[in-house]
Amino acid sequence: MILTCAFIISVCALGGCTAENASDGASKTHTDDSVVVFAADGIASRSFDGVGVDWGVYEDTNKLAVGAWEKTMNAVDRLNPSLVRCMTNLDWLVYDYDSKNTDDLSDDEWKYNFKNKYMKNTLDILDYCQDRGIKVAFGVWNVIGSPDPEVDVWKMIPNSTTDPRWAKMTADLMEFLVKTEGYDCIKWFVNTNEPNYVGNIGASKNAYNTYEKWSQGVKNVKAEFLKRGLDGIDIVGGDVTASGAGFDQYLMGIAKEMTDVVSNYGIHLYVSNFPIDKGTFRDSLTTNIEALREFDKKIGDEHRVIIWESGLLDGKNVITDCNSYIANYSYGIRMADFTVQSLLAGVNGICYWDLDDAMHFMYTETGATAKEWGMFSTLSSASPLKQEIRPWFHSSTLITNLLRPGSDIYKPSVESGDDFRTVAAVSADRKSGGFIAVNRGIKSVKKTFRIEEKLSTDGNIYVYIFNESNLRLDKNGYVTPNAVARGSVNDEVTLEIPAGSVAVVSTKLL
Amino acid sequence: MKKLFSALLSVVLCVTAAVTLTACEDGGNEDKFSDDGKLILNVRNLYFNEWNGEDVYTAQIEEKFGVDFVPTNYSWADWTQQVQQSINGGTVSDVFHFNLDNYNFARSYKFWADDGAIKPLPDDMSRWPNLKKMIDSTSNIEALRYNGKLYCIPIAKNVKSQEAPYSPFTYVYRRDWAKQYGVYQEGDVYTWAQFNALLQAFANAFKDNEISALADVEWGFPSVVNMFKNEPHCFAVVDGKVVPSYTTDKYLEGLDYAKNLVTSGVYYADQFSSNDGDVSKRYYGGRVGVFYENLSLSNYTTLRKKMWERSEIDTKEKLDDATAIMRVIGPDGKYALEGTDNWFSATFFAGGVSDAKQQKILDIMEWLLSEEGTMMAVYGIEGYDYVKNGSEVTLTEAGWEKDLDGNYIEKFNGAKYLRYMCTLGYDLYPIDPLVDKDSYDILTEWGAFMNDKYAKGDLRILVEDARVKWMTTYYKAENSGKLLDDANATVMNYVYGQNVKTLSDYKSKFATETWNRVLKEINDEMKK
Repeated sequence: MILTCAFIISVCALGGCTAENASDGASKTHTDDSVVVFAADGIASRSFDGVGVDWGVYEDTNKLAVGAWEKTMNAVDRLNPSLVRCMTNLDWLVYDYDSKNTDDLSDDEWKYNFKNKYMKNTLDILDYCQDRGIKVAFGVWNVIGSPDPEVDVWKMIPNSTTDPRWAKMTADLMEFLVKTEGYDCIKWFVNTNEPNYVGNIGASKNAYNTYEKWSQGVKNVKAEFLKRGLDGIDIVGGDVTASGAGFDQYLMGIAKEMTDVVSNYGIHLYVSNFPIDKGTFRDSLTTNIEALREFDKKIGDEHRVIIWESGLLDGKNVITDCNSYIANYSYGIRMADFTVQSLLAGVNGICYWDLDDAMHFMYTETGATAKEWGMFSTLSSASPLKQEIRPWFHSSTLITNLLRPGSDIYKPSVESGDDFRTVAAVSADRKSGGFIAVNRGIKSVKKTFRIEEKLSTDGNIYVYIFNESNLRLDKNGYVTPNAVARGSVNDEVTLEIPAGSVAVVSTKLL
Repeated sequence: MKKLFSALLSVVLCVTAAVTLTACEDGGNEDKFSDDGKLILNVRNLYFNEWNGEDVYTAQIEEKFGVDFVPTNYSWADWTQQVQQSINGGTVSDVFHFNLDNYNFARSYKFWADDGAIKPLPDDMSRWPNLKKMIDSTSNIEALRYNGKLYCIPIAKNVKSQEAPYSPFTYVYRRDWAKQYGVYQEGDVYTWAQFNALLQAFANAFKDNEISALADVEWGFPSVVNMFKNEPHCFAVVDGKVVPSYTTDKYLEGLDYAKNLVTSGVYYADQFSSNDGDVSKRYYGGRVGVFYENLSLSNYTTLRKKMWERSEIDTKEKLDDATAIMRVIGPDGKYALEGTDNWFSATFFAGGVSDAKQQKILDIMEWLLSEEGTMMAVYGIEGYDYVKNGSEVTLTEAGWEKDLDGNYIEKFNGAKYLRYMCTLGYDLYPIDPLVDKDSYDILTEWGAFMNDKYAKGDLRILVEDARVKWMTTYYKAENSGKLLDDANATVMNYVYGQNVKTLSDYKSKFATETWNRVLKEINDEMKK
């Protein structure tokens, strides 16, 4: 069935309109501002790894609701991520530490429990990713031990990842996962989360960390990986919050002196609404990437910049580490805008923070509370409202399904105002493609889009509009097109995009 | 697990080579600069929590003042210890936050000043008029001067108006239950007899249940003694002589009353072993009839939110009835509340901070107290978060969205956090979009009521003699904190009949060698 609606004003071949469904008449003459052409040479990225989600090992699967895993599987099926960042905790997996009562760390011994609920959950996630060809960045949150020196038996924290036991442990873990269990979906190792955030002594496992320690730790781990035949595992360079020392020391340090060890610039970005809304986020990111490129000319080609954690800063409650915006449609719109701006700046991949509220908890004297940043919650204790799929899951689903890995990403030839941003993608096989357009203005805009790069499609164009009024869901509660028309994105596609909306146009059903 | 959230800022990204510039000034530590030439300021404060200084609001301040904030925080439980550790370890931040009070004044402030660990404020503060005005308005400000210098910025509760001289430590109660059992009094005003009748009615109604008629926040026990005593804590002046406040006739009368409430089953039976937060949770759980608590706006808002989550409370009227504030007239015919200063805790500068850096921080504080800075801290960025037409402020939809319950969603606004270095911002409550207006209105009405009673001489405020409060003699400084802790334990043990069985045993706890030495020292000093 071919659906049409007022959002599609016309789909016209360059010689004239071949299809039209204009509620207010098709506009056949365009001002420059109203025409968006994605020129064949307007490449933003040729080394695109796709869009995914942070799907970490659950801290307590006993807290999940009945049917949680099935619900999660269904949701991730629909989300169809290309990337997953999966973090675990080595403290969950090691036991029976024996220091031999010597100062020599190399003779220390310990055992692994690779059969507990944490590893079971890990394997469940990796099974899923392996079966679907999802590239995984697998990592460990922190070095092991307690930040409280009074109770810490490992004494690894002061030396951080330079501790020789760290390289051995992480290599043991990766050897088990990649070689024993066969998860070659793991493409990267994350050498601790946000090492640039040192925190306070006694409270943070990073308290003694420095760039020098982290980089030496990475080199040790890489050497151990090579010794174990884990040659295919790259290391996420940084996994840092991308400002201050995170940028100056870690990312710039990698660009200057570590490109022989890592080829992935991993950054975490949580951004205020203001720079997203004003479009200045893109400028900042562009400046940053250009600064890195001064030292590493391979950035954007063999060397990738991937935002491994992404989200919005406003709405964050610092006590509970929850974000109140995630229940609003605006979160989806801003994260789409975030994505478009990131791609225009040359980013090669993005992971959204995060999939499920049930994964992580905030621990206080009064107990553990879920960190609510997810696309839904599978916690048994979550209210029915929180268990529902949140709006930004749907906008993210459109993005992850359109922006597939290996696609070429195109910029528009002409920028059109502060309130409108767009980016196009064409698949590697040239059989599918489309574009995302974000209208952040207070009025609807009429735009005509055309992708120059030739696509060979089945002749359908699927149009999705994401906002509170127009989002359409199918009987399963997942996003479905607002309109389907015959035509090609190589022709002129004219859309009326409502105020405060994301429009996604694709040559395939997303 | 996620330790930090970061934002890539629109204007502050450092893009040049990672070369640190330094400049040595005035014999202090070397000032450090970011790659793009901004002065790096290490700031640490209890209220910074997970604020990492990477939001757009902080970025605008950084750009305006040419600085780069590096914030860290303290945990409430280890605050004092963390400050001490950082000072002892030489890792103290440029600007830090300490829970200064009269009990630790000598062993922290004076000790640090003597040791050069903290830097005094400039003698002439006229360059920072907002800050100067705030500091000059501090109660007991002269007590904080040492060798003619002021070594801290007392953090004002309210920079716009004079705060009430009493704390909102009082009783919230189940008015709905009072109505149900026929003991409700109009306007929530209870004479001493009516208060006791209500407690007894609740105790009778719930004697076989898990519900307590009366319970106190853990640090507040036994609150009922406040209706008798005159001093808040350790020391009382009786006939010109300083004695332990715990052994005055009035205190003992209150103590006896509290003990009777325990033995008669009015007081929460497990108050003795209750951990921090337990009693408030019991109230939220509908298991306490009258609850003594610090009804700060934050606490009261939380309490109302928690009660709103109860399924049987589904209208505003029911919520108000479940969270009403009692006005109890004591046996002397007066209301009684604990006195307070108009500031809480203080901001310090590390001893090695250069004059230039200190002045820069003072510039920022001055701006944060200005109208422009205040608007940024409350509303955000003009033209984006809000628009201003004359004095009228209108919040924008993009800047201030609401959650599914219709409440404004909190912004991650560094200006708000930084302003905590100089004020807690009580003055902002009437205009802050994030303040729960119902809670604020109820507390404001209660405050007006108490102010009126105070003006008429019907409110007794518990205060310690100022001469004693800030006295920093050796033994007092050494022992005050411990004496207070021990006294609280003794009171609890006596009232609940644990370890301290008799009044004679009780009194002996305040006649120890330490008490006697401290009291002698204080009394000798008073005679000078």
